[in-house]
Amino acid sequence: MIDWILFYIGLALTLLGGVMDLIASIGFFRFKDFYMRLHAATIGAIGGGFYPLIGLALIALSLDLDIYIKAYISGVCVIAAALIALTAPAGSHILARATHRSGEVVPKVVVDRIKEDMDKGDGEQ
Amino acid sequence: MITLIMGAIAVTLALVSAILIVNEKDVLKAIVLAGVESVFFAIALAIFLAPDLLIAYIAIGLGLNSLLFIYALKRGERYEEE
Amino acid sequence: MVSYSVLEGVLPLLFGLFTLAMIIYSLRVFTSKSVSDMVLAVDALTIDLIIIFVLIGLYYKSPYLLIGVIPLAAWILILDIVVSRYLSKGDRK
Repeated sequence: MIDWILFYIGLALTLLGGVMDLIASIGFFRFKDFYMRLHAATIGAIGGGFYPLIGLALIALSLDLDIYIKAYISGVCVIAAALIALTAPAGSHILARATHRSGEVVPKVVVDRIKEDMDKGDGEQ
Repeated sequence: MITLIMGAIAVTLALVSAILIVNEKDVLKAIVLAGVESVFFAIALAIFLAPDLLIAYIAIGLGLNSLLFIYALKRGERYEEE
Repeated sequence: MVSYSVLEGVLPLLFGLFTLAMIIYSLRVFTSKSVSDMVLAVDALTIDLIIIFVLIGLYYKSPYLLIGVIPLAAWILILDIVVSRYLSKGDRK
């Protein structure tokens, strides 16, 4: 009984992750600016990567394979999910900071206080 | 059958990225695109059941290649000239 | 214990969903204007490919195919840090 519950929870999480991945990939085309596309990247990282990996770990635990195959697959899935949840937001934050500092993409905004402070020399440290 | 279709799609995307690397004028973009090409070849190697070549592609083609080339690019010019 | 044939009926749907997302992400990578945009799309593409690797490992019932998943998850942060360091050093000179 418990294995069927685990299987259906995992399947629901994986299907939800696939749909959110498609939404994020369409959002990469719909948003106009680099700083707007950071929202779509967050959907693609957490919704499209963290949820399906947890779901696949639950699915692999509930199958009738050998025990070492099940344990290997679900352990790798959980470790990869933890790595993604820790590193993907930090990575996109670093990238946005370096892009704004170096002037690779100039944001189309009304007022930009960080740029004014950097021109005065306050934001250098 | 479904995995063969996926392998065909992955190898086609690798071919497209290889063509784009040759025509690229920005060297930093070309380095990132070389990593993407290695990832698609790793997908094809996983479909054809070759895990030893797969770990070599991921460790060398992604990690070492990008690190060394970007470190070398710090002392060079970013944009190619005609 | 759930029989493996139940999962075998659902796997083509999952393969189709994630492969379609892979195609759209790679079109975004190929047509991007600036390098930050490309690196952001490469991050999402790599996370999508991790799930495709796990699905291939479940399809063949072989745990050895999952050997590339954890280095691939670590490569996301490495690429972000290397490209960001290059961009901010290039500004200061």
